[in-house]
Amino acid sequence: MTWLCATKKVSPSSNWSLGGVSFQIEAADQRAARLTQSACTGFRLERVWSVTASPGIGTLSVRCAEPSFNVSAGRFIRAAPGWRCLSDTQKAWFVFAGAVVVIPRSQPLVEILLSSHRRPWPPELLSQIFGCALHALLQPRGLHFLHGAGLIAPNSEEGVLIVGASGSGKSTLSLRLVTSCWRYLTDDLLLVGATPHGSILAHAFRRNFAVSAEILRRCGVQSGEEPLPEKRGGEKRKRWLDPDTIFIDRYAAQCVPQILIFPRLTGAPESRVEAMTSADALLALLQETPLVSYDPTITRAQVQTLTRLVAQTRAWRLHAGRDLLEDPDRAAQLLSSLL
Amino acid sequence: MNTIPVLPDHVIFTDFKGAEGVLLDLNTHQYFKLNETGTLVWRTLETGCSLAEVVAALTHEYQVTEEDAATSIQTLCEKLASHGLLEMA
Repeated sequence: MTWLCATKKVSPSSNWSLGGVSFQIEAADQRAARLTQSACTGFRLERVWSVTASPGIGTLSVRCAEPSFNVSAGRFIRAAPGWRCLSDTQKAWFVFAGAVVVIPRSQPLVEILLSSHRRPWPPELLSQIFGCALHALLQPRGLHFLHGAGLIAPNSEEGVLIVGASGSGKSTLSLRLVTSCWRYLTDDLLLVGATPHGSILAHAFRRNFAVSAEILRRCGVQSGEEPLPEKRGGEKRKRWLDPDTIFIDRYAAQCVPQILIFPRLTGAPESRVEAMTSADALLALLQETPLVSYDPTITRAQVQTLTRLVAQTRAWRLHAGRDLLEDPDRAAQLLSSLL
Repeated sequence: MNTIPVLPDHVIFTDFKGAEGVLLDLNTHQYFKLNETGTLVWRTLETGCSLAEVVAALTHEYQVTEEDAATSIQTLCEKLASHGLLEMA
């Protein structure tokens, strides 16, 4: 008897939700569907299983093609490092590593065009491309990106957001706190948005932690994943860590932020915290938030959301010393004292 | 001092209970912090007041002479104008 060996087909269309907002993802072909499936596992998307599921707030369309776009009418706009962004009156294009994310202004549709020549597509590139596209889809619905970690103190519902640039110690602090029984949303990427009652909720966005081998060793955590590609600027190579497989039942999809922490590595023996004014906290949040360049209406909503986040929280500058690395309990002691 | 500065649409201002405030230029994505008196100046300008009326508002709230208030407000407005955050009509 001969058994048929074949790869199972991936559904080209699926419904998802994040932060209480549902949407559809459509792939044009099987390769696009597989890349989409792979990329989506890196985000905290919840599959919506229903035959009657509506497209929700909009659609993310993915296809493999040779990305091409008309730049003659566009103007260059501000973008994150490594990205080229153009905009005209109808659309914005975000170009990165052989992919284009197309954002029409008047339609609830975001397109991802992935170069069909690139094989394979590295997961870390797909993560950045899909992160950009998902963010573009969700932003008009009031969910805004924040470069920060989200954690919840034990026996508490108080959310702590640790906000800072890459290399500021977010992941190290997150891992230290999770090993001290704190619950976690993410170590790096959050979405923040207002509830109908006006308070701001933080939602987990990226799934995996990215932590250096040294921090994993110091925290007594093992990760079998390969190191991620080296970043510019000499930052230590990190490894993906799926926290759900190690810290069972510690994941929380959302929290109500009460404390904002802005870490800064000092190299001093002892860490210390310093209260920040609301204006300084807002300035620090703006530094870590890519403001939308192609739609001033969304930018205003972003700033309003961040302002409300500052108004509902207390903010602290954390001058992070070596004690946070060396003493496994120090991070939890320090942050618990602020609650 | 009878000038009424124009606040452009591309500038967002936010403050926290009248204390410090933050100005954000949507065109350049540059942001600036205003102290408590700067916040009062901006909030007064938002109501369409002239510089003379802003001086009156400042001297009403703070122990400062009219002359010092006028000089400070003029300096602040010129600085904001140099960054494109207001237009001295």
